[in-house]
Parts: sequence; C-alpha cells; structure tokens
Amino acid sequence: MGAIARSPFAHRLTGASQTPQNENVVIRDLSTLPRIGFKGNGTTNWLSSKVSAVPAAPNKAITLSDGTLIARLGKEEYLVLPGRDAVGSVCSELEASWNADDASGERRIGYPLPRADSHSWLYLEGSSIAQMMAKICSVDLRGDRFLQSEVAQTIVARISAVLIREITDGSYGLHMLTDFASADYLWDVLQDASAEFGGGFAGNGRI
Amino acid sequence: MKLMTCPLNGPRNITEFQCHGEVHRQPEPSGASDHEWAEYVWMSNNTAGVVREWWCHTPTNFWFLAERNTVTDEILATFPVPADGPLGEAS
Repeated sequence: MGAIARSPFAHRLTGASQTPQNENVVIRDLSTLPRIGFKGNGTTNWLSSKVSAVPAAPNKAITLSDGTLIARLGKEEYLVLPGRDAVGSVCSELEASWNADDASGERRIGYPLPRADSHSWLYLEGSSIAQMMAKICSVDLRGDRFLQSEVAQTIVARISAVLIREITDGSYGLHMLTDFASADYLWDVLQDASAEFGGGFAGNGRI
Repeated sequence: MKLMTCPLNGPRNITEFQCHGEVHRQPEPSGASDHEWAEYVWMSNNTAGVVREWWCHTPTNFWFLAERNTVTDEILATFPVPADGPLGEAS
C-alpha cells in the first residue's frame, strides 16, 4: 500500500507547533509512512507463508529482522508497519504478493485492508507517556503492566485506537493508530494532555 | 465505571461495548411461516432475569455473547461465539 501524500496532522505541524521541552513526552507523526492490514479467513496461513513469523496470539506484536512490526489484531487480522530504517517497502511488496496470489486463483487468503488513509499514525516516546495516556485512556499502560509487544485496541479520548508498545531497548515507546478523519481533534487533545509534562510534537519521521 | 470482560481484549470500560439484544434462533427462512418470521424479526422476550445477549466490543468490532441479569444489570459471564453448535437462547 503506497503511503499517503499528506499527513492529516500536516496543517498543524507547521509554524506554531508545540515543541517538546524535555524527554518526557515526545510525539512524532509517522502518518506519511506506508502501512497495510490483512483480514479474513486464511489470512494467518497466507501471511505466515510471506513473512518469517507472525504473532502467536491476538493483541500481540513482533518485530521481524528488517524492523517490520506485525501486530495481530484478531484471530485472522493483522496490521503491518514498516521498520525504522526500512529500505524496501514491505507493505507494497505484501500487497503485490496478495494481488498476484488472488489473480492466480488462490482462495481463502483473506483480503487486504488499506490502512494508510483510514488510520493516522503517531509514535509517542518518553518517560511520562504512560502517565499522560492515563488522562485520556482507561487501559493501564504503565511500563510494567503493558509490556513490550503488547497491543491494546481501545478508546483514546473517545475515539477508537490501536496502541502497540514498541519492542526496543530504549525508552517507553507507543504506536498509536487512530481514525484519520479525527486527527485535528486528536491533535488538540494531545497538545492539552502533554503540556503538563512539557511535552509536544517533534515533527514527522522517526529519530 | 462499570467493567465488562471482552473474551478477546480483557476487562474494559462498559462504554467500549454495545449491546445488540437477546439471542434468537433464526427460523429456516424458506420454511418459516409469515407468523414465525415476524415473530423472529419484530418480537423480543424482554425477560426479567438472566438472558443471553449479543455484545460487540466497538474498537475491535469483536462480537461475542454475554449472560446478563436484566433486573440487577449484573454481567454473569462473557464468552466467544462457539465454533459450532447452538448459541443458546433466552428462555
């Protein structure tokens, strides 16, 4: 799935963005990176034949050797996020692969779910992320309760969200994918919630 | 906040869920009389007591079954849809 041309946060990132004052809460906009999902009967078998591993249970994520993050959202539903330093595009490769298999008449391989234009994608990093999220989300996201590779599909600030704890040796990191069309609202919420910790938006892209 | 335990996602605020009414067994569409079909589509038992209901966890769109006491609003059990066999019905 190709990346979108413009982030839904783009118009808020220019000019008077709230920049982080410290390392407590740093929010990055990854919305312009590609992402794709697959769902439906047979998806687990199909995806397992295309990548080296898939998570063993729903609401778990794994990172492949090239940095690709695969989150299992249900028995037969997956979300694929490209890695930090991805050279190729795992998303477009998987989509092309699915199209080829579908065209060759394979059945029970699920179906692709375009995610680039349905979900915005933020990466939240820092020592106070769990504290900040406690203000807008009811799931306990503290570091010792919401472990690396865990996934929570829940409500954040009254909109549905997929939260994935990053698998890293570094500080606490959280991927947050929410409704694309609610991005403007979410920006205001996060600006308000992060201000207490001196946090803010550090532009787009990864470190 | 009232909590409900989703079979897929674990305990969550009740605001993450929607109730979709009591479980009915669908009569065979081709063989059912108009009366039976109308009964299935339009009527509910509205039981005062323990009923089996359809619920949906809206962030994941995960549908499951729950047993709830409609008098006390106590949720007694939640479980995924059985892979086969009957869903069970409110009496």
